[in-house]
Amino acid sequence: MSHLTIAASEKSFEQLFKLVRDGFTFAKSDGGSFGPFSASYTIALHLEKGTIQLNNDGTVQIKALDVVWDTLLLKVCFDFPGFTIPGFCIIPDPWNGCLVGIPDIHIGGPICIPLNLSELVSEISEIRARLDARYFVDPGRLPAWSDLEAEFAGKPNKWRIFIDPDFVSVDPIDIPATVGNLFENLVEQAIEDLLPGWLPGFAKDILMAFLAPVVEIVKGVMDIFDSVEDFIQDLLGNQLDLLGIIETIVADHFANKYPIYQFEDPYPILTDGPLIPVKIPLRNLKADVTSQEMIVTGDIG
Amino acid sequence: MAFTDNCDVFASIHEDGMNRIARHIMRQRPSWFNFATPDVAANRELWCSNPRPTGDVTRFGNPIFTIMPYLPVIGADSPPVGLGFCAQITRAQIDFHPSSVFGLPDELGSKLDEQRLAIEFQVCGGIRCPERDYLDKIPVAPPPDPRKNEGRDRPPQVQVPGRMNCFCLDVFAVAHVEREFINGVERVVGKLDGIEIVDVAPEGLEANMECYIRTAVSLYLRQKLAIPLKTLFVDFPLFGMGTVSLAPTPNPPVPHNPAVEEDQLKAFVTMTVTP
Amino acid sequence: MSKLDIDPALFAQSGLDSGALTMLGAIVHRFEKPGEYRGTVRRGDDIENVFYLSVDPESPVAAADIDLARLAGSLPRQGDAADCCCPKPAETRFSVNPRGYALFRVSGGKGGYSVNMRRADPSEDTPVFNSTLLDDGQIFSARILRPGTYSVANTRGRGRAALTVGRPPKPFSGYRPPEPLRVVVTEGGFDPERMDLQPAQGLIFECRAPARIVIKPERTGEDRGGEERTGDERAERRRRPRAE
Repeated sequence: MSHLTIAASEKSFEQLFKLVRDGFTFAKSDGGSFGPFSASYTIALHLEKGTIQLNNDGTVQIKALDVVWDTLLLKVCFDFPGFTIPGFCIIPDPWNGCLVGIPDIHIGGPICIPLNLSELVSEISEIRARLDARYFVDPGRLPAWSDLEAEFAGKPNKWRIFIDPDFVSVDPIDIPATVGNLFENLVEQAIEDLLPGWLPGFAKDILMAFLAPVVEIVKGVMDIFDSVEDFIQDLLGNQLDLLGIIETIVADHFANKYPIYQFEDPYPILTDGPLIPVKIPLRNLKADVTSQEMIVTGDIG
Repeated sequence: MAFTDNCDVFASIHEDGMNRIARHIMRQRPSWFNFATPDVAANRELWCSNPRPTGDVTRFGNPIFTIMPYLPVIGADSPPVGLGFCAQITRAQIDFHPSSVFGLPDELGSKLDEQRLAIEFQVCGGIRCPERDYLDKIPVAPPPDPRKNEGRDRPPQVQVPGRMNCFCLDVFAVAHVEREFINGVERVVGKLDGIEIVDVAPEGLEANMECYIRTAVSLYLRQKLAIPLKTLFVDFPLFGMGTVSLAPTPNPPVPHNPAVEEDQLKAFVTMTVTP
Repeated sequence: MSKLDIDPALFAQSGLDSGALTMLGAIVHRFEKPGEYRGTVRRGDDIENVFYLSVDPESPVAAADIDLARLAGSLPRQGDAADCCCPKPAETRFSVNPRGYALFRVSGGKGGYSVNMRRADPSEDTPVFNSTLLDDGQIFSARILRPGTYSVANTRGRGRAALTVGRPPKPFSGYRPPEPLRVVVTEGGFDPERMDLQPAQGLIFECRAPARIVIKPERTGEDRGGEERTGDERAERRRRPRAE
């Protein structure tokens, strides 16, 4: 029988989970080029909510975990195919369309659409994990130090128990229709802003008239889906791989960064007074769950 | 049955683990188990037992002995004379109900009652016995005024050398545990229910020695070995969480908290979450 | 974000002259007799450059695209500054099949070019084509962007006509101009005499008589007060209901 047993009910495990969850923050800026367009992003996010279920097979299930995007700034840049003043045929060729014609006049250039999607909330539908007890030796600890010297130097060894995910299932980032409308307006504005100020009004009118509806323009450039919302969802989730990033960082947070339970080894039990603390070595630490509770066992070394 | 059927956080320690902890404490806090006058503490030859402190004890300048005053010699006051001595706990082990680690003397009922624990320890000690020649060389001073307990004119105590006559006693104690707030911290404290010294006669001497040891052990458990309740839970994170308050689970549903049963010391905590 | 680099000449010119080509005008001529031709690109009386056109029955080229602006070296530099805007020798030589056509046009810049061509044979100096005087079989094409009313005249004949250009539809409407309007130029005038165009719609003058066609603005959108839209008005026109 193990010397030491500590158990936490599912209810208290949920509180432990909240500590781990609330310890998660992440920020990043990056971007990429995707053929006809490029995109960059600045993100900062944290986690909220989520339900816990412990299973007799030793797994921990976390469901409906919200990803709150405190900052989600997206910038999409593409070479606007431009305004085209269409040409026309002067001498038709009965066999091959046009023998002599006036070519189109193309006027194009890069445009960038900044989109602020901050406060958006997406979801991690499920994390399935197991508890994993690991021994941590502080890399800053000198080999000659005793345990006590390491403690006094703030670099004690530790036992750490992590929720180690087998998988993290991240839902697509749901983009509301209003964002699609906003994007279209921003594209329109960006296109109009492309036109130099010296251009006479009639010229602007005619150039703008040549343009197809924004959705068609964007579809043409970015080879996108049924709607701008779908495009942004795919861009964020797949092309910029934010879903993959979330999956990785959340898994890494739970599995490596933020233990659900940790304590020093040797563990100090008598710390009052002027004498050195009494420290008890703990060995063979194990962590498991049943459908009712988390159980941590260990031996006194 | 789950550990947390009637609570939210549960901790237990098995008697085998507790006995290992006892050995760690004895090695890391030797001065809690070894008592001697300065002359004995300073002379390894006079020790009745050789403690095995960890390297950190000496590295950090911690003492091996708690220094005690010399044992006064009755009737000698001009000058007063003190004898060196030492008392050392050389072995200690614990047995949680039911009895399994060691047997109890008949005087303590042979087997542990429910919710009881037994402590078995060995005390070795001795008094420095001076040579008669040395005593004869102590100059006799004018007698002090017995109406004055203190005074500058009182001659200083003379500590006399001598060889150590060591002896060892095996002591058994039966106790239970209670929760008690000491200096504002809820702690688990052992409370002695009975004590027995093996093979001491006559009975009156045994009774007096037992009284002394019971007093010493009771105070010792309360002053030195009252472990904060949360220490049993090994830094469980919820103890530091602002939105959660933890308190010992009451009776009902838990009749004994802490409980001494199944060779373990158990503690049960109930959690209240502040919205 | 940087602004688009739009050639100011595209919108600065509101009139056209077949004898002084700009970005909005072009001339088509068929060289029926095989041989080597020497051409000069002129602006007014000044010769800007010389080029050669080989009319060769073996040539696979049905339409020789001759960019007068490039030949004249008036296009803005692009890319590497070391890449001279001036045409390289090979770029001054063209070929076309005698059953094909030569298209003289201006791809950028202020324009105002004419073309004069003669046989390259030193013993033959008779001009065979002068773009300031079009004749039977030659074509002048025009494109007018600015809404308004214009007069059209054949300064080498009696032809007079009226031309209107309508206003463009709303932004992002995917507007495409209608098919070009074909006008026949004879000694008697233009047919049709009234030309109603949409913005940027092509206008093709097929010459059956000597001609130099000049299109002049009479009243454009800017002259008519309220017709020229402000930025706010444009924004208002752009706004449209959306499905949620």
